[in-house]
Formats: sequence, C-alpha cells, structure tokens
Amino acid sequence: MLKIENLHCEIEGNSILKGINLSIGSGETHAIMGPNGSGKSTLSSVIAGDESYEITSGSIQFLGKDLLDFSAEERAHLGVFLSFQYPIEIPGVSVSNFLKTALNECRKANDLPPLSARDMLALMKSNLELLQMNSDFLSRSMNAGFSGGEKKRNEIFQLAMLEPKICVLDETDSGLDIDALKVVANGVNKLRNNSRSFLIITHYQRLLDHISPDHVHVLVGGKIIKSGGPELALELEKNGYDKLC
Amino acid sequence: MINSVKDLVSFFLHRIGEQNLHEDIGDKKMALRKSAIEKILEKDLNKDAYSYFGNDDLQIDLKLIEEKEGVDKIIKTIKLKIPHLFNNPGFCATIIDGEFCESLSCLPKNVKIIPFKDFGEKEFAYSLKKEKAWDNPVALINIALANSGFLLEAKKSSSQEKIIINHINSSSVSTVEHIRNIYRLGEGAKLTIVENFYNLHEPQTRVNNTVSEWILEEGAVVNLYSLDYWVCKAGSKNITNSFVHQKKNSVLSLFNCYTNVNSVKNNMHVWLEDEYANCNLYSISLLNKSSCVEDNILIEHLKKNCQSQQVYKSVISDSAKGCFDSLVLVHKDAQKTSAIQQNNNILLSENAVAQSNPQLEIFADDVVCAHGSTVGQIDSEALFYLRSRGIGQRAAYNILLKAFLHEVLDKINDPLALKITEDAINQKLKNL
Repeated sequence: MLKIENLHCEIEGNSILKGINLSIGSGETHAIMGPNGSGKSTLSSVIAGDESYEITSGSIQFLGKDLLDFSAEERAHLGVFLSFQYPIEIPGVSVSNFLKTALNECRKANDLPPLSARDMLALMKSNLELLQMNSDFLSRSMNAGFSGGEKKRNEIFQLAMLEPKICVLDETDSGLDIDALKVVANGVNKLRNNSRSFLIITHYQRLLDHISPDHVHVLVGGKIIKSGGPELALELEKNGYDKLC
Repeated sequence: MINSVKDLVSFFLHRIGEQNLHEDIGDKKMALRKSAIEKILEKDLNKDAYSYFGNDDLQIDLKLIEEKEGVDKIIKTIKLKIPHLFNNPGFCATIIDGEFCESLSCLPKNVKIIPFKDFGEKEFAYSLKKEKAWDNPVALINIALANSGFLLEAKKSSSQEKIIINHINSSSVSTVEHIRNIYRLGEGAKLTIVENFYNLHEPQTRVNNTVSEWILEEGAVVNLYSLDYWVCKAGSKNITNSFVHQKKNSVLSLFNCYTNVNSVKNNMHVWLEDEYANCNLYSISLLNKSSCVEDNILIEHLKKNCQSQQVYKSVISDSAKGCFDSLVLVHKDAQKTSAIQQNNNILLSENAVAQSNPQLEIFADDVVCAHGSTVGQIDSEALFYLRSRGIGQRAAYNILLKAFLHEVLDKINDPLALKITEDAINQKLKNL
C-alpha cells in the first residue's frame, strides 16, 4: 500500500531524513519508535504533505501513485490521514461543521455526492460511541479549550469519520492518561481492517500494549536502523535506544 | 484650488456670506457656523487636518441645509428596490440621505428621533463647546457645514428595545455629507441598534464627515452594531468624530464591521465620568486594494470601578492599510479600573500595512490594565492541519480567518447583527 524508498528531506538546510526505506502492506500495522529528534514526526508530516519540508531525494508510492506529486489535501482525498501530535485549535468552528466540510471535500474529490445532514449526524453519532464521547462534543469549537486527551480523541474521531486507507498516528499516546489511552487504543483497534493500514509513531511501548503492531522499526538519526516484530518494542523498552545505536 | 487653510476659510466665508448669512444673521445656528469658521481662522489650524478632504468635498450648497427636499419622492423607489426593508415586524428607523423619514419608521414608545433640521440651538451646539470638538478641525468643518443627521432620544425601558436603522443613499451622483448625530440615552434606557446601509443606485463616491455625540445617563445600556458600510466607489472617504459621555452604571458596546470601505478614519473620545461605567469597542476590518481604516481612540477613566474593552481585528490584503492608535488614560481617582486594549492583524500580502499603537497612561495604583497587539500571517501549521483533512487551501484560509475573527463575532449577541456580519465577511473572503 505504502512504499517509501530512500527518502531524504531537509528543512532550512538541515537534513532530517537520511534515506528512509519502509514498506507497509494492506491491513498491516507498523510502529516506528525512536528517541527525540530522530525524525519520527518529520516522517509523518512528509507523508501527509507538509510543504515546509523539502524532499531532496527518494519517493513515496501510495496505491501505485507517487504521493510526492500531490498536495496535502489531495493526499487526504486519496486516503492518507495524519493524527497530529499537537492538533490545532480553531475557535468558532464546531467539530461537526469542520468534519462536514472535510468529509464532503473528500467525497467531492472522489466523485461522491455530499452526505445528507441526517446521514452525517448518524455517522458522527456512531463514531462518537466508538470513542466513548458525548454528543455535546460536536457543537464545541474545534480543539479550543480541549484537554490533551480530548484533542487526541478528536483526532481519532476524525480518522473514523474520514475512513482513510493509511493512518499515521503521530504520538497519539502523548498527553493521555491510562484510561484515555485504553479508549483511544480500543477505538483504533475497531477501525483496523484488511484494507486499512496504520503507521504508529511513539516513544513508548505502552501504546503498543493495546494496539499490537505487525512490525516495529527503530528510527535513529533519520534512518531506520532496525526492524523486527512486536518483540523489538519490548526489547527497546527494556534496554533503551542506546544499545542499538 | 484650495491649498492653504486661509483659502479654505475664505472659501467658507464666501459661501456662507453669499448664501445665507446676510439674510439670516440673527439665526443662532448660523451664528454657530460662523463661530466655527472664525475659530478655524483664529487658530490657523494645521492644514494637514484638512488634507483628508479634497477640494470638491467642501463645495457644499448650504441651501440644502434648510431646504433639503425630495425624501418623500424617493420613498416609492425605496419600496420598489428594497422591499425586504418592510418585511421586518420589529421597530425600525429609516434615514434617507442623512434625514430621518418618519413615514418609513416605526419606533418604540420610549424612543424619539428628531431630524437635524429641527435641532434647537442646544442640540446644534450640544456639548461640543465644552469638548474637544472646538479644537478639532474636522469637527469644526462639521459644525460649519453640517447638513444632515438626527437626534435619537431614548427613555427608560423595562427591557432591551431593538431598532433597525436603515440608512439609504438615494443619490445617483457623488455626495458629500456633513452629518451630526446625537444619541441621548436617558436614565435606565436600554436599546440595541442595528445599522444597515443601502444604495438606491449604483455605488458612487461618498464623502462623509460625521460628528456623533453619545450621552449615556445612569444605567443606560446600549449596543450599536454598525455593519457592512455602504458599497462605494474609489475616492470615497468616511471620517467620524465621536464624543462619548458615560454616567454611572452605563454600558456602551459599539461594533463596527468594515468590508466595503475605501477610507475610514474614526476618532473616538470616551469619558467614563462616573463609577461602574463600561465601554466596549469592537471592530472587524477586512481590507483589500488600497483601502484604509484608521482608528484613533482615547478612553479616559475618570472615576473608580469603570471598565473599558477594545478588541480590534483586521485582515489586510493587497496594499491596504489598518491603523490602530489607542490611548487608555486612567486618572488618579480611577482606582479599580479594568481596561483591555487588543489589536490583532493578519497581513495577507507583502504590501499590506498594519500600524498598531496601544498605549496606557495610568495615574492610579490599583488597576488591572492589559494591552497587546499582534501583526502576523496565517499560521502555516494550522493551514497544513486543515489541508491534511482534505480541505483545499482557499477554503482552509477562509476557515482560519474566520477563526481569527471569532473573538469579536462571539461578542455579537444579536442574531440579526450576527447574520449580517457573517454574510458580509463570507462575501468579502471570496475576494480577498
């Protein structure tokens, strides 16, 4: 589904990613772990189309298309989703209005008619249940005054609504207490299926206790230095990154 | 060609002398006009003050003051062209070319509107003498040449009354208006005013020189929404001098929304004269091309426990310009003052200009005063967030700009005012 080859990128002349190779099959869940400053968040931003990074070489193939040819919004239309580490606050724009706009833009790009108000509401309500969220949430301003946990739930709620094919979760576990982590992880697990892949970026093993990955990669200094199965995460938790470097 | 203050003054004297003064020398109003001109002459006020006006802007026919005609003739056209004005079941006042039109108005019992031509001497010179107006060159021009306006008087009411004031410009040619408005809110008066602006014909060049006086007696509560000014042609100018007096427990909230303007200059002087007076000034400007909105504000806290709040937000594109120059002056008796001054600007292009100068001068020692200004651009990270959800760049921009303006929109409690403002903003965002 997603194939990254020899990806190099920089920002303001600083080289961040230095040759990433990663292949994610349909329905697979991969985890990327790594120390601070290793390029994890950069990788997720680059996949989603953040134009502040300059791709100096390499490619990202997604469902047979060269993703680098597409803008951020076009990538979303193709089925790429990024759950942000620090979601943006948009005062005055309700969660429901925001999602209505986003979902209908995606549908329009895929030649689908806009969802009727009734269908939209029904879809929102069922996805709210998935994340054990109250329907009051829909009328609140997008992320404005949300707690850390609410922001992350809102990210996964958007994921559920937009039904992407590849979901990149950038440190979705940060800022979550244990109970919220379980709710978010359960939500993600329910959204996993054979045609949807996940790339989970995290510092810690604890999220992977709840969402078990098929593959784990270690990103250090802009390169994937080791890949393995779920046991690799446990090893990292036990020994730290230093031993691998 | 007028190129000095002297020229300007002799031009005035010539006009007045020629047309009215010799016939009507005993007229007290005319005497006041004359005093205003003599004042200009005596002070030899700075020519820059007049530079706002072009030569033609001052060539006003004073006959119009006494014989303004034809408002009734155009009522028919108004009914034909803006029929929805008459669909509203609530209270309304219709002002045609600055003149109050009683037959197209329906006022609540406690509200009275007196047209400019019926002003007595007291109204004509009301409070201006003791205020800065007589030192303000543009206001002096207004005293000398005022040709339209109204006095709105509201008495005590048990609940918040609402009036929609429809300002109609019936002219199919360029116009110059020197307007005098007085808002006299009696003790316990509660009034919400929503101002709309309509052109009966294609937009023309308009020059407006308005002097507004606000007198809020004890406990008066007033909201004024002055929204979506006239669409007018390039070269139009709008200068307003407002003098606001607030007594004990009075609350004044003024909202301005500029989406269509060319050049606007607002000078505002507020005196919070007694305890617990509260003044809120809110403004939204969406500017493009070479338009300019300039706000000069002075709020004086004279007594203790008063509050003032200013929230001014501008989105500036092309080579447009926004200026915010505001001073909150807290006098030594004004303990427990609470004052907020906020000006935020987003620049959308390289040549857009924002000037921001929030100032505080505080002579009391127990006050809470905050001021701040920002000039910036759309946050690229926020833009990326929206785009990553499938929202195109243009739509994402508009959502973020509306979020930027939300803090002011959120203060609009009147549904009609909110709708007019949002419609105007949505319309303008398409063209920014």
